Amino acid sequence: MTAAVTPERILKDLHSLWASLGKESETPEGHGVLRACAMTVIALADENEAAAGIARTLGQVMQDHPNRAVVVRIRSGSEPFLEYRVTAQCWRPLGRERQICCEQIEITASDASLPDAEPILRAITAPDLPVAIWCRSPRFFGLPALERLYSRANRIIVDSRDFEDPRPALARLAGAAATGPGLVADLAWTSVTRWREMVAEIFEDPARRELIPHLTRVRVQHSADATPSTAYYLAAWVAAACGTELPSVFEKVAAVGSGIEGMVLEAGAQTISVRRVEGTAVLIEIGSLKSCTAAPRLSEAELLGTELGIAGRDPVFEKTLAEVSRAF
Amino acid sequence: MGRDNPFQDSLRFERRLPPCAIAIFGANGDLTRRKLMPALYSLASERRLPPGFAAIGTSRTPLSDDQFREKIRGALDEFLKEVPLDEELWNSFARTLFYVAGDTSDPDLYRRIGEKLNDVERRFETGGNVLFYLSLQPSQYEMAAAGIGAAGLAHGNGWRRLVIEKPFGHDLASARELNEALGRVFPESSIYRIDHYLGKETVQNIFAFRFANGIFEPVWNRRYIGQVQITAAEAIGVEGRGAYYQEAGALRDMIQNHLLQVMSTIGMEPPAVYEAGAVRDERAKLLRSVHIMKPEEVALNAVPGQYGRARIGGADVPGFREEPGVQPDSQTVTYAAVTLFVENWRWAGVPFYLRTGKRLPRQVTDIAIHFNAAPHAPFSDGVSNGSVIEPDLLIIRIQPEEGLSLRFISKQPGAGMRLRPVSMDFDYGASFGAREPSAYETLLLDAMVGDSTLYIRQDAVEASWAIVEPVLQSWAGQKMDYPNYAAGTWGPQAAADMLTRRGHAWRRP
Repeated sequence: MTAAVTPERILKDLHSLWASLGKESETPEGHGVLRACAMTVIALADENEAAAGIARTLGQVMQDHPNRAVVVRIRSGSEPFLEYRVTAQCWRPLGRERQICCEQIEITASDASLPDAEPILRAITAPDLPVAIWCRSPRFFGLPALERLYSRANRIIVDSRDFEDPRPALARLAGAAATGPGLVADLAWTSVTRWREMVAEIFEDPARRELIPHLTRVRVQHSADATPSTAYYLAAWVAAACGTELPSVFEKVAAVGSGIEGMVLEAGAQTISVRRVEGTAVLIEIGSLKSCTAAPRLSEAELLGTELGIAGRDPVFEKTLAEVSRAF
Repeated sequence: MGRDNPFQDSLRFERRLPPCAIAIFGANGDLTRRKLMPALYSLASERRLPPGFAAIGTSRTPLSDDQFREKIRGALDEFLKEVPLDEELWNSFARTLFYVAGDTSDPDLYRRIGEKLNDVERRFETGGNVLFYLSLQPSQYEMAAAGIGAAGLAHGNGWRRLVIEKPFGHDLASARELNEALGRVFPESSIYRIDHYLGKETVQNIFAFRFANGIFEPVWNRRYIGQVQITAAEAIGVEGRGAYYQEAGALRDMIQNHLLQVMSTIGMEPPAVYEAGAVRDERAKLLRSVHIMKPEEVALNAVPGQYGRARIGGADVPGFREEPGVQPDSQTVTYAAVTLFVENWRWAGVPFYLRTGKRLPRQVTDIAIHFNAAPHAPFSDGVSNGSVIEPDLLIIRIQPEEGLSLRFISKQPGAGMRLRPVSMDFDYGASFGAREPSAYETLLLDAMVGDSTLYIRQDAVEASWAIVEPVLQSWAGQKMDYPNYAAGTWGPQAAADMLTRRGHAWRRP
């Protein structure tokens, strides 16, 4: 390391970066570049994770949610190590003359240097704008060295599908959602939105809503080796919506897609089933009535973008999370 | 069990749409091909159409369902923008399309439409909800509405709504007549008059800008604002619509509807709630507060124009009278500028300058709020770089490059105090990258869900006609010396003079 990493150095480098981008894009028509920033997104990742993949996801997200992206690549080990570089991701929207650019700061820090990195991270968040922390590994969720950074965050985003045993992890999330400073979000929950929407559409018919008090069981079908967090979410969501203690069954079935494969709501002999049949196609069966719809699998960038688009509390998620930790 | 669906999640799910059928009159026309079908397909591609949905097209041309589907497929190939045409989705969308051929004057057409509606109600579970969309010549509106009524289609198992496109009449009397005719079949609450300008995201954003921010509304009045300029400029000519345009003209085609709606959104009082009734009350109230010009005031406050030939970018551009379908001595206005005053406490004395025209230098629609100059500027001429210190200016850009710009005065870097205007820009596309729905997507969804906030109510239509009618009458009684502006310029000199008399000038967008 040649010189101490300070917020001032990083911000100065950003300033120089914008000056050079501005010069490079100068044209006789004077279109230039537009610096866009509506929030700060801090991505916490293992150093050995492919940087290009993270950059690609953040680049896609930026086009819907322009942000100052800070990628913190965390190196295992007790040796102090801290360095940074600044770059920009630019794109030209269709039919527009002017390029739009978002800045990206990449910080590499060893575990031992995280306490030094933490005040830097707080200082380089874009002023007066929301801060989201995206934990790309379960081990970064609630990391003590970053406690003060977490308290600055408006939103802490995890993906419980990465957790080895989802039940204790979901209980931790429920604890953090109930008491933590920032609003907790889980991309696993985001990924089941389409399943939930399909179930909700079925009950748009007032006559079918009469069936809700008579539901006796919910079966969630998945193709994972162990029951995934998404299955727990769906079962808990149905129970929380019905306001009853609804027995749930998790069934491993042959994979058509990946993850959730179907849901069956039982009311005595009557069943309502929603199951993936091929690719993105989902078959809905309500008694003898059959219809087909689509449930495309969303990319990581789409899931993250959805969460960044939600600014306030998510009462349905919070209620479901509480139900997950109570029931399972 | 309560009435609400406990599985709904308004934060994350798309807005719930009831099952319904849409019956499009004039389904072989340009609007259906260019706007309606691309909008419906885009909604389908985003899974926003309800599962129980069907569209029935009708027009005079004899077509089978399959031929109609083929035509719509061709239209999507040509006009679908931003959303890819997916074969699987198209096949599923096409299965919801049907066609009934017939003339709007033939009562049997409505009987057959009724049969088809009953059929799709059974097959697609549309719940008997029907949106009748009149994409017809305005002269056919009354006949079509009466036909729908006579066949008993205005009532059914579900709701029945009627959507009509502007122009809503060609003057105040005909607008009233039309409203009365439609009112004999549908209640006012079921009539949806489309002004697609109100469906534009940036026009809707005016509400958010004005009423969700604390800093602008306190200065949004005559004490701080000196003038408002609303510009809707088109670089193109009549593009094959010469015959239609000859009947309409710029004042009827743009100012009476689009620009007055934009003006009412800029000038209205804050509604108590963001609900159709409250918002439309305030818009109508603003329009009713606009001073109606006396005949002798028209010459000073309204300027007509018609473009003449010019050479632009190395190509010869014909004058309006040389366009196909246009009479060589046409008196149609292709440019109109008016000065309007709102007679209420908020806006008394503040001129609203509205202008629109064809073959202007560039396509742009924006609103410029000119703030009053600082009451006292302690800067000498030398400090201001020898130029007059321009008042602050807020520009709301509707198209293209939607966004906001605030121009204000800043010190130039360097020794001493030298001033220069600078601009602070907000670009919609830079802060919200997601695809913006087209105005027709927004408005169709609203009509299906029963939200009429962005539709124009009968009283607002009549108030708008009342505003422009003295101008129309005055211009109709004169033989103008046209052309009076060259294609590719910002309009006739008289329009500039209209502002100069008040010490103002048009800005160059």
